[in-house]
Amino acid sequence: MANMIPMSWARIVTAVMVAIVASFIVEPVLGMMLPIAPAIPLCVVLAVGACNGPLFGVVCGMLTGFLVDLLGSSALGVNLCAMALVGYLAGRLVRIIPPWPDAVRVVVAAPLLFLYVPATWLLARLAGISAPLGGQLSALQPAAAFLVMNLIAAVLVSPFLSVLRSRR
Amino acid sequence: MIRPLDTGYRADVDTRARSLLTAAIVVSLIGAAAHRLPIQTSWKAWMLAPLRPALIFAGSIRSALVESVSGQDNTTRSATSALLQNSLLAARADSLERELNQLRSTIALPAVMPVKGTIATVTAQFAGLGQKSLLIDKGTAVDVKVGSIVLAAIGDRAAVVGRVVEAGPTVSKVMTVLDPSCRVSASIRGSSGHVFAGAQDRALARLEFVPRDQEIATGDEVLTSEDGTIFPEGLLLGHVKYLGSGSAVFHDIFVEPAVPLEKIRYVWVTSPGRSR
Repeated sequence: MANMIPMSWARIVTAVMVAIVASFIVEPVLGMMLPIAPAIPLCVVLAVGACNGPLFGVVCGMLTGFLVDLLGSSALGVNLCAMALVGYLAGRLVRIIPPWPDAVRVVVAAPLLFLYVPATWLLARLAGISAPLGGQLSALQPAAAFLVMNLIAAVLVSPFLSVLRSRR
Repeated sequence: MIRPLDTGYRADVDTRARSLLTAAIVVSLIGAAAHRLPIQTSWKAWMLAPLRPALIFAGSIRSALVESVSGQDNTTRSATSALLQNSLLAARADSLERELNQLRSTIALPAVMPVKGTIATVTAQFAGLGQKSLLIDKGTAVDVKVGSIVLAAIGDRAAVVGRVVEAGPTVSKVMTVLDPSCRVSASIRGSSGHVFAGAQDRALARLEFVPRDQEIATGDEVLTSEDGTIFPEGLLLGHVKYLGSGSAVFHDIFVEPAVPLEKIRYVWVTSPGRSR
């Protein structure tokens, strides 16, 4: 099992805030150049969970999801729960894989990104919101693009999170 | 001093993580139930009000980036305001002309186009994670309310951006027409009763419930229709981008929104709803 260097509360909040600001600024630009813009906050949640364990993942997911719900137009809790689930499962997965480098762990955990789609769909339906991301579920090509784009983004953010973990 | 959250593989760490996940599920269920209640709250916009300077700063960086990618946009706030007012007045003249013609044959009063309003700057936009919303720098302090409609000028036409779903004192949140949960009554080629549905796929919306026997072509304008309850009729929603395979009964129409939401900087916010 890997010896994990602990992250602090402050660093979790820093990572989340940077992710939110980055999504704010970069996602519209990426959306103009790519078929689907990666969801940077979701990628950060996955990377934090995969590299730090389930408690980090779930805390980071809840915080990020809350902020996304606060800034967005959906019901409170949709992203909060979906991202917490992704972060938690990514953290659980890290317990059963060897102590590989962070980027490799993120790649291994990347299929969990898919859970975000049905989770938000289900929660939004419960809230009476008509099927966000439903189209991405129904069409294979956008769903695959969603996974690939977010996988690439998650791998790209993992070195920054490693720095946050290792610097004293 | 670093205070660890998760220092390794202690059993209580997993227990805490599970408890937090359970709490997240409970919060989401409560949030979903609250969202179904027939009340409108703006607590999220109120919470965002203190962040307004940061949002404006981040929004200016985003605008600069978008402009550098998509080309320089030289529109100024005052020029946009004049353009919007002109386009709205032109749209109102069209509407009044239609009203006059209708009054000749019926006593029912058609919609009256709202012209009074305020111009607002788009400070942030969220175009991912299943939602497409904007934040604008105007709120209840200048009479922006929940339900206010948000327009933009495209050439000499007034086009729909969305409507205000939450209004704080100095910040408001706008659900755009591309939001997956947005539905607008629409008309195409003079026939109404159709539904303009937010984007389920990339940046294209859909026009639903258009009978198969109706002739539709690429480039056709999609407008707000007279049977809607939120937007006045005759506002531009978008243009038909392409036709899908569809069903035996209805067309499968993909619509490109008239307003390029990723590039928009200024919008016109008018009083809520339409008057009859």
